Amino acid sequence: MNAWLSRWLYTTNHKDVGLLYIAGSMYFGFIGAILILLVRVELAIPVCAAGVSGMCWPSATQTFLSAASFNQAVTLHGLIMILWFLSPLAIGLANYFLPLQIGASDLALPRVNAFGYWLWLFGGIIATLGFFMPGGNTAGGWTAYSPLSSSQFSPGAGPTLAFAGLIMLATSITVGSVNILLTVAVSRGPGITWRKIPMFSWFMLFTIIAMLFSFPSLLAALLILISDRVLGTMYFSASAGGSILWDDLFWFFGHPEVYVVLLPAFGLIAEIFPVFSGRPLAEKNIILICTGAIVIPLSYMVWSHHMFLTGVTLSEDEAFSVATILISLPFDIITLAFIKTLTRSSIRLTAPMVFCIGSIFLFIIGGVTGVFLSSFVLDVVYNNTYFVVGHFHYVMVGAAIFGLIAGLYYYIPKMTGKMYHEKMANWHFITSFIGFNVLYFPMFFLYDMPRRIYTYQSLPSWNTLNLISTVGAFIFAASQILLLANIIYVWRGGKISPPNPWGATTPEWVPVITGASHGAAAATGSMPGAEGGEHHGHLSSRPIWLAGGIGLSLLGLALMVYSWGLAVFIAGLAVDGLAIIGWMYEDLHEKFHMPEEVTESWPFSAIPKMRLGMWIFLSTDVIVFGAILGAYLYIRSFTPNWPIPGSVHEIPLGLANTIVLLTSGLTAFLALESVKEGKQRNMIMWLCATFVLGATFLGIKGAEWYNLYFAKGFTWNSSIAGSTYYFTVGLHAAHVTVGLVLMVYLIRKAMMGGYTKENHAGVENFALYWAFVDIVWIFVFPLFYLL
Amino acid sequence: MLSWLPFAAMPPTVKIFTTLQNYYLILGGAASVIVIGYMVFQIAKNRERPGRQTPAYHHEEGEWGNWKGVLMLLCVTGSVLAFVEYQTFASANLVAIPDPPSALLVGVTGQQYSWSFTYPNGYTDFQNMTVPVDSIVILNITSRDVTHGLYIPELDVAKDAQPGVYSELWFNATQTGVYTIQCRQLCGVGHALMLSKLVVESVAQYNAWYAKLPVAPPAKGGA
Amino acid sequence: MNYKTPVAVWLYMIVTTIGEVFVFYSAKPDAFSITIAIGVIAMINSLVAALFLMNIRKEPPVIQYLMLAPLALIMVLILTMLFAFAQ
Repeated sequence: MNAWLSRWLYTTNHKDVGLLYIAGSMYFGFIGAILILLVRVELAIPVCAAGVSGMCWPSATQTFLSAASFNQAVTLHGLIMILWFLSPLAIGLANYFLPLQIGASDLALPRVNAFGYWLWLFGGIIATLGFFMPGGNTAGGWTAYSPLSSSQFSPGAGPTLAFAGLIMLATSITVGSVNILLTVAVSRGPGITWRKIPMFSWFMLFTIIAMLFSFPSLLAALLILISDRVLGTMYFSASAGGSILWDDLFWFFGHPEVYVVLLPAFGLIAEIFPVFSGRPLAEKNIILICTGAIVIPLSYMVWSHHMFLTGVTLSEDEAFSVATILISLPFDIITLAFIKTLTRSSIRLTAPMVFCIGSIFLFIIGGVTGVFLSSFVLDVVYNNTYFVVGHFHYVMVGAAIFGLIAGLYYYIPKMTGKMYHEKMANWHFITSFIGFNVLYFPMFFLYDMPRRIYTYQSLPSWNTLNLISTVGAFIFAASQILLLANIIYVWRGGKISPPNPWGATTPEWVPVITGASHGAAAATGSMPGAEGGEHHGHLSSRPIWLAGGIGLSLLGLALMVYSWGLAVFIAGLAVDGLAIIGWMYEDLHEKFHMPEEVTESWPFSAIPKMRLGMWIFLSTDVIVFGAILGAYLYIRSFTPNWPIPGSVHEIPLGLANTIVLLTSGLTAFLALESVKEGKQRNMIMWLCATFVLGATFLGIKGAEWYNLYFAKGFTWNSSIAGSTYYFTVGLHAAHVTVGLVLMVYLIRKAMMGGYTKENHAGVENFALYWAFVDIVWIFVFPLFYLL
Repeated sequence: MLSWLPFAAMPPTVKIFTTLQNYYLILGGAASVIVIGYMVFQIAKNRERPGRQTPAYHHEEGEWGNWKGVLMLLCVTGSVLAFVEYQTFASANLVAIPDPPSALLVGVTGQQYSWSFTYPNGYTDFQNMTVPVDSIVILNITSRDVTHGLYIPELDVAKDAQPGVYSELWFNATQTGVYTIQCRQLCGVGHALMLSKLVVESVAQYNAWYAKLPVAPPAKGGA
Repeated sequence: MNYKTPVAVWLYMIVTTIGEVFVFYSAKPDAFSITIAIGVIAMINSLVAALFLMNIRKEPPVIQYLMLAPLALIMVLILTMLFAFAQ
């Protein structure tokens, strides 16, 4: 394969992956924009009716977009813009600059980083493939409320593909979060203490923490949804409260998600404001405390304000309304601190600066309208109307996008070594700002117009405002051409920029580490790779193959309705297997090697990187299983006629299986203890025992299931009790299976002499994982067999 | 929102909403104008221009910056926010269902893509809802299939219709006329067209209409 | 090598799990007290597993907080879900 292709497909270098994310997000942003421009054309004029003058669509069936197309367009617009444009743009900048800012040579797990990227990209492609399926793509809103999202009301492979793409994205984000957390925790360069971490990196760290515990909830919800759609389980179609279950699981993710979108932009503002104000950031530590408080726990305690009208108790509405008011307080402080940074200053109105100012301006409007929406009484009128649409676009587009664009302009000299065209960028700002407000401000006056309606009856107030909004949409979209033109201008021959054109003082501009490790800012402004082939030892084909295999498997699963779907699924599994084996092979034979470096790692100095990574991963798995067990408890409490405990499952068999699994926990522990004493033969023996016990557990499980399925007719689609049992126990069994695969690797490596008294991290991390699997079963057994 | 009516003539639900909205509008609007205005002022004042001296910046802040100022700001913003939140709590009677013995109870069922209205005598109207003026009406709302959203814009009341779940809203129409009922939760391709009418008649007219209804066998509970 | 502690922990887990089943079989069909008893046993056992099998005691405090956080958040989620329609 030629060098250029193999570099971009197999790179694990953080700068390359960052550029890949930025390019990919621009592509998806373009698609999301086209979708909504189509929507705005549709909404520009009403549908004709008797006595209506003025332009209108001839009839409800003769509009520009059909209702089905419209619904798909608004749904995919939301999904794509939030998950495949806004966040990845920020992640791209973070990939590029976070390691530079903290003096790390790369992210902690470079291949995992690349894997996360390809998983994200293929997930997006799969999600958009849904458009080409019969019946089209998912069309129930990006929020995918249940039971509209079920296979009964949204039949076809299209929606299933979209949800499969989302699962890939959620997985990508989870592995990416672990990676970045690890990097900040233990890979900081010498001298970069927590106090010295620059603001963009701090805000990315907070973003990651917000992602860490929210995306697993989305993953749980999506896994259940796919199970409902493909296997026929009955979690969300359960008539008693299934829709509220989705709401809770989705919004527990959904609310922290909006801060995931916003905080990177705030981080960029926190970098850019001081530089162009010629003075330090005001109240820096207080800003950090406020952001920390927002991320944990406040952002996880307000989600029910999206559910004010769903019929939950008044007490729940009141409690979450108060919590939402509380969360606005730290935002007030942060905004005012940013503004204070503009006082006693000398402000240079460069493009990054004006975009940041625009961002704060628009955030204030978005934030204040958010306070309106925190009222569970006002929300009675505003909920699901264009008032909400206006509010969230002011914060997600106004505050977030303007901030991210500022970051792009700010960092173009560093990424490319050239300066953008300042005048064009200024015009970009002016036209964007005007277009944005013409597009979104009218929406606040459309507070009695429901959202997601493809057409509307003519009303003087609605007609004019919708038309104005559409005009604004085209102005806003067209103004982005100036950004594209500027990027082309830079690519094609902009002026060479000095290494630090802005006079910034953070490490990515001014290297603080002497004898810099190869990722640091020593390389001034040139595209990566041009710096002398430094990362050629870090190419790996495994990430893209593994991501591709997962994509193929999910594609096949979603397309099981077609006879060839199974073949695709199996092909995908084969690719997965080969990629995993290849990855392990790289590890066993040390083909992928990152040099050891001196790093700052307090307070994680006593804990090795991989073990920390395992703990972080397990903390996310707590949320996945917690959400799924919570779903079971919820469904159970609202479903009458649950099978009497003891009438379905063979409790002695279940008990025996529990004893088997607990014993395997003991043997895994003994394996670890053995290798800590250097007794490698004993360790292999105990590991083999663990493997046998784990396999026995699965075997007994299989026998139980065979009996339940065939002898008792208790299947995953025969009853709600069946659905919850098979899904939960199945997910646990999948974790056990993964453990078995890991054990094969460990035993193989151990037999090659790979684990010693000093160096046995793999065994230790496996023991942690296996203990976690045991703990989950400690809850699952009584919950499903005894109660 | 019958907001062109004089305040005294508004239906109670509209009154509650409008009063509360005014609090938020005035305070929120003022806050936005003040903060944005201050920001724009500082930018205009401090922007770099030829002949301007860069002001000497004294790094007067300690480790925790001006935490006293921050605390004061928290108190100020906190008070304003607490005030509006208090007003919200005081307006909770918009969503709390009153319990007068004379209330008219109408069951509403949403389905793809229409509303149906069931009266105490068991009659179900598949087109419109008819109620008497100046009476408290309590709607018991559910869905037959997916989630819908019942919304009566001119009365400022709404509630989601969830399958398998019953939720309630109340209103009291003080003006006769025909009002719109819209669906406000995306429910499929017919969502935009899921419209009904709320017909508010004088008490005499309503009673006459009600007496002439064919009485259906008792509607089976639930969707 | 210290076999005593891990085997003691293992024995404790086995005995308490058998105890759970015993509680199940012997108690009258009074759902709530069984639920409480079994729930308490499950939580204690998971704590024991975390302390001894995962050796969380030996990890720096930041790890202990890292694992506490999702547990607290999940409790918030589950309690809110369960009381969504409390009468």
